[in-house]
Amino acid sequence: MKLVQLGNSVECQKSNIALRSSGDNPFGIEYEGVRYFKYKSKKRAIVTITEELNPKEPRICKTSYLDLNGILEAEVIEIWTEKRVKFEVTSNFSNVHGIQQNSVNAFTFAKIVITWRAILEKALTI
Amino acid sequence: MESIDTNFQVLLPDPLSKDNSYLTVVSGNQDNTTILDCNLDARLKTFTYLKHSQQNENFLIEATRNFIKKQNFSELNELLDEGEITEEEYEIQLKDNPEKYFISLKNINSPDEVIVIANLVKRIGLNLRDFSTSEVSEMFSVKENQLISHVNNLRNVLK
Repeated sequence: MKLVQLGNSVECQKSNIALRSSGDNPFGIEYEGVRYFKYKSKKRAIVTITEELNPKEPRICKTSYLDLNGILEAEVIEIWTEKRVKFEVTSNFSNVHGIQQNSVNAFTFAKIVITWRAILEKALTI
Repeated sequence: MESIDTNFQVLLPDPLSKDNSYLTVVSGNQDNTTILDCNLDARLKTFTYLKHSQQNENFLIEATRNFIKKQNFSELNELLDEGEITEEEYEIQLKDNPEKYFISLKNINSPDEVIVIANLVKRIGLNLRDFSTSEVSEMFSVKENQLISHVNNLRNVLK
């Protein structure tokens, strides 16, 4: 399953993350008593679920995709992890075998970014 | 509880009247009578204005505090990247001072708060930055999913 729509998200216990840009350093988010490191990828990124949550219930977004091997891919993605991660950046995505996979051994939440403008426009036009 | 006798009389609007937006306060004696008409609609508008002003102020203070927290986190990241502190010291600093570094995302208590946030973002200016919904949620310490849900529900108000 490949998720590419605005607002799509995945949540998992472990993930692989391929980035063309690591974006800024992380900052801290506390959500329902749990602290996360938040990153933003400003270029193309791919997040793959390598281990499902146990219990298999979303923590952040009730519509998150949770199944093993689920893939989230987009230009701008926000990533929350429970541990600090030092991402290695992949310079060339055209060679699939050459993509640097960052293995994240911690809870991961990744979401394709939606702009505030888009939400307002959607709300005003429905 | 003690009561104080006054010669004030409050005349509530007639519930059967079409115009029930006035509250009348009457005070006086045989020689002199004062009648004060309070426009309930104006009072309600004043109350709403004061409430929104308070909410505006609270959200702007929250946004400033969250900006400072991001700055603090950024400086701590720099110290780690430059080798000024170890990873262990970095973790200890975050663990011991979460209020300095972590933006806490809270529940939205009423749809009014979303209107205040939408107005603030509009006044800050989308030409300054094409904010994402999560950036708005971080700025004002509210949960992103609730923010999106409330905006969708409030479409008739925002129109």
